[in-house]
Amino acid sequence: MNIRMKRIALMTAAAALMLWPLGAAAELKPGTVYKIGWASDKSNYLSFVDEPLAKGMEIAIEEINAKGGIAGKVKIELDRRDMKSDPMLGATVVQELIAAGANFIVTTCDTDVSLPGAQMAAKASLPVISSCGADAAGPSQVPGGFGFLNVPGTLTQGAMLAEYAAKKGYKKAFTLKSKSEGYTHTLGVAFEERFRELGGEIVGEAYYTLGDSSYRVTATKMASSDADVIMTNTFPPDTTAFLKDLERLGNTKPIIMVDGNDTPVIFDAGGQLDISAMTTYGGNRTPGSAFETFEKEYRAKFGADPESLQTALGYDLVVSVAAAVEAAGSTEGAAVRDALDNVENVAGATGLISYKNSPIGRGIPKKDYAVVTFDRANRKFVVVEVGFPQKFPPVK
Amino acid sequence: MELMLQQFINAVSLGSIYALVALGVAIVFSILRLANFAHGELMTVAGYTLYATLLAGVHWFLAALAAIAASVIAALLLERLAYRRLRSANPLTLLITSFAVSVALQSLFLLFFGARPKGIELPAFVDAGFRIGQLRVQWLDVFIIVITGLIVLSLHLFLKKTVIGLALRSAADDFRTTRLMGIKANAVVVGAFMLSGALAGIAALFYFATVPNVVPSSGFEPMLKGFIACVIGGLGSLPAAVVGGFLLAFLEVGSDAILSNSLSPYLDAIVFGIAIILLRWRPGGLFGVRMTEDLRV
Amino acid sequence: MAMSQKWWLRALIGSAQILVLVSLLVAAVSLLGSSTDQRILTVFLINLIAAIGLQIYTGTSGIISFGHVGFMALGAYGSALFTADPAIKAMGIPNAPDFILTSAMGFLPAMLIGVGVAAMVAAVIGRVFVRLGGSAAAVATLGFMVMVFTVLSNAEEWTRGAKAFSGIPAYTTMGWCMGAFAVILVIARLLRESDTGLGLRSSRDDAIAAQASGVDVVNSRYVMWVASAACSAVAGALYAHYIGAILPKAFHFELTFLVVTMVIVGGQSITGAIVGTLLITILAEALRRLENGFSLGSFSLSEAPGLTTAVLALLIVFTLTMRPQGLVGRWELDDLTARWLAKRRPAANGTALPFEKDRERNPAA
Repeated sequence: MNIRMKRIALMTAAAALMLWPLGAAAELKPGTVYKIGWASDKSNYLSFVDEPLAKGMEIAIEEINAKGGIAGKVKIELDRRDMKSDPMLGATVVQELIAAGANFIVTTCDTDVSLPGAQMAAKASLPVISSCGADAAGPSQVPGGFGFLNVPGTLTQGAMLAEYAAKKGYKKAFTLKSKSEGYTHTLGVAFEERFRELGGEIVGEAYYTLGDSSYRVTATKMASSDADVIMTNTFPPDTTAFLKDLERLGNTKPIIMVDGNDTPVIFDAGGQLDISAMTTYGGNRTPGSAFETFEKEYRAKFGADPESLQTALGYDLVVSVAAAVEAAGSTEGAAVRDALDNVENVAGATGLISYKNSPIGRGIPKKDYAVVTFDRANRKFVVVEVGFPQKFPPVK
Repeated sequence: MELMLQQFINAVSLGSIYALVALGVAIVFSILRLANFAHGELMTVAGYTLYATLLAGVHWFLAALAAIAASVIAALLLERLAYRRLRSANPLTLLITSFAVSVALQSLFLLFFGARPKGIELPAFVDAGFRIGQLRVQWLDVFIIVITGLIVLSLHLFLKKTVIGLALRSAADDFRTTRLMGIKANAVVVGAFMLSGALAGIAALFYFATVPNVVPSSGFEPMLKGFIACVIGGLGSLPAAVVGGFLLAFLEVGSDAILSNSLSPYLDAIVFGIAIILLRWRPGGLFGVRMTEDLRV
Repeated sequence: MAMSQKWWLRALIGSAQILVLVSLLVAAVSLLGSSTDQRILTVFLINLIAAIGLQIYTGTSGIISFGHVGFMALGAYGSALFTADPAIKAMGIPNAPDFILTSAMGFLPAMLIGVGVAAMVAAVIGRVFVRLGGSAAAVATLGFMVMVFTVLSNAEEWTRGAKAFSGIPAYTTMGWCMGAFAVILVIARLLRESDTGLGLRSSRDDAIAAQASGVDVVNSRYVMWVASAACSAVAGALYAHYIGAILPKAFHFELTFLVVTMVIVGGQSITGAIVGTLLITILAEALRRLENGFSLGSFSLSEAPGLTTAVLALLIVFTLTMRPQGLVGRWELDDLTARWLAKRRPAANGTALPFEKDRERNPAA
């Protein structure tokens, strides 16, 4: 309820748009369907994020459809098909979805793996968004301005972590990055760049390969270095293995980590969580907040707590798209693209979402980050700070 | 100095796990010429069993036994359902079959447990340790190293002193002749798979004690390492598998410890590069005695 | 008759037969298939070239290579770097050398650069790899693939590292694929039927005996190794110019195992590689469509992720247990048609199945 009311109240700016000469077919007619096609990973390594996202999307879709659909008229339908984290199959599936009448394309949670599919969507003049891929250079690689992200990207998150670290008075950081993926590398580099700018020093850099089981060499190096903070780009199961290795070496240096760890699995990492902090979204998790309402709806529907942050991001995605379609007054691809570009302060589960005049780059939403710590006894995240970095490295 | 000692312990502990995996791979290979890619999935089976039993509140010791039992049963099922018909097939077909089996099992894990990592609730003693001066030693490492040592020793005695062991060894030398001498082929193969399954189960206990999460693809990385260890040691020979495991661990830890920042992203490539040079020098592995499958030229 | 055929003539006749069949398939799908079908067909042809590329080495030497996807990656990046839009390169890889930044070549020269790079790398490392057999070869070649992957992921100035390299012109058409397929098919068959190929095949079962009877196993393997690397690179270039954006991860374990499985399931001949690729493509695609479209009451297959992959893998296991030598074993299509003809007209052909004997002819004898 709450979210819906707020969304209507806040969804303003985009409304003024859209004087496109629209064909009758593109208008929002009662009884029609707006089809979101999702080339998603159901069975390979990205499915661990796409699965919870799907549930969040489902909640948003049900909520909107219960009100009669977008603008009370057009119901949303989700067509999710498996692309097995294979870029070639991803493009094939997108083509298939377009043939099946999709109005909007969602790709999987990696801007690089999903790029061929995104380019395919753009060729058909359909807006396309990565479910939670975070490379800020992603949208600019999709022609025609059709490409979007669902998160503010690695550059801002790295900067956010650096500003947090500087505020805590840390001076010397040791980073752990991986070149296996864009996410695990660019985020770390953005952190380093901003941390140095704020007077910090990077005293050590280590690399891992995604799926590594042993971090002992790195952990030993870190524990014996003169760093006063450890920054890691890992996400589970790598993070838990890494933190266990640190713990067994008796590490006392604080650890800061990235949003990929916003999942209950992280609480298996043990004692090192007591000295850890993490960036994520949905800063306001107090009773009555959008996040709390979302979690309540989630529990009502699925009978369990949300598996991870990605559920909320799935919700965000659908309400942003719905807001854009409503503002466009049309289902036509270019119109929805332009409307999404002008979405401002839509209430998602993680807070307010704005694509309009994004400080990061076109197609990349501004959402507030939250820095959280870990309450191990209750397996809960404790929000210690909410905000957005003051400065961040430019998109490369 | 402490740092070096610490890394030394790291290498020995990691090497123990690699050695156990390599042993499991080598036992089956020595008899069937099957490089069993699905060995990793036996470990994953143990991992999920550990997860499920500990979640249900079973005592850790029983959970550990259940995990080992599960991977033994899985190994026997694989032998019966997939590999038995292929006993006389060429090694390449066997390799690809085992790979397909591995993919099928991973997909089934995904189906039953989902893609999200499952946390394994380890008993607290796993994280305990003690200090010798600046050096921090974990009981887990002591455990891993001692138990691996015991396993290698008892396996050695088993193969040397028991009838089944003798049958296994002679089958490894020449399966056809052994069969002619009245040893039942099925008994030997089943014995090898049981041993292999048990070793996978024990290796899995140690592996999941260090990585407290299990995902459908958990077994891939340790399997690959065990396979590499076997090959650089010399496939077909059990002592060589053990040595190969430790060698690989020392190679990895050593390069990781001394590489500069600019080179450390290349770690995988460097380790493989050294392995390739080693193989060029000794195509049958360091202690390779069985050259029938390779060409000495 | 088969017995009197020159080796090159047999290679050409065999290629022509396959070419006719594949052309019929392509024509049928182009005329009747949906846009998705045609995409699947193009990907099938690219995989086919990769499989034949690998089979040139594996089919003659009996040694598996897990490294050929590395050559595909070299072909893909080699070709992509020289053809991509300079404006996009200026953004994506501003620190790359000038000759790459300014280059905007046509498809053929760029593809040849990619192929040349792969062949050169293969020639340099080949001496080490052709001396390895069995599991040592498996691990060493897998190591090569990982090395290529690691270098591409780290060479940010040239490749954007782990991130996608985009802006690659969409040159790959059905025509290009068929053209490349025809050329590589003929090359593969010629190599296979040549004395070098025949000698090497006789070494599959017993390398030492073959060597004793005069087959230069190492040099023969080396020739096949370099040729098969070059052909794999062609598949890589076609891949890059079809998909439009490439990343190192696309050329990793998964593609490796896919191509290797296609080759092993099919058998040891070039026809085998084709049959294997066809079978796996059809199975995978049929299962995928079933997953997307099938539902029984409230149960929908799409809610059982992993099931179709498991079924595909089990079907492969089943096929291999039924036919451990691969679907067609060591036969080529022309062998099979000749056998069929011989059976139909036994009178015209006094001795039974002479071509079999001919195939086994010992080149050194």
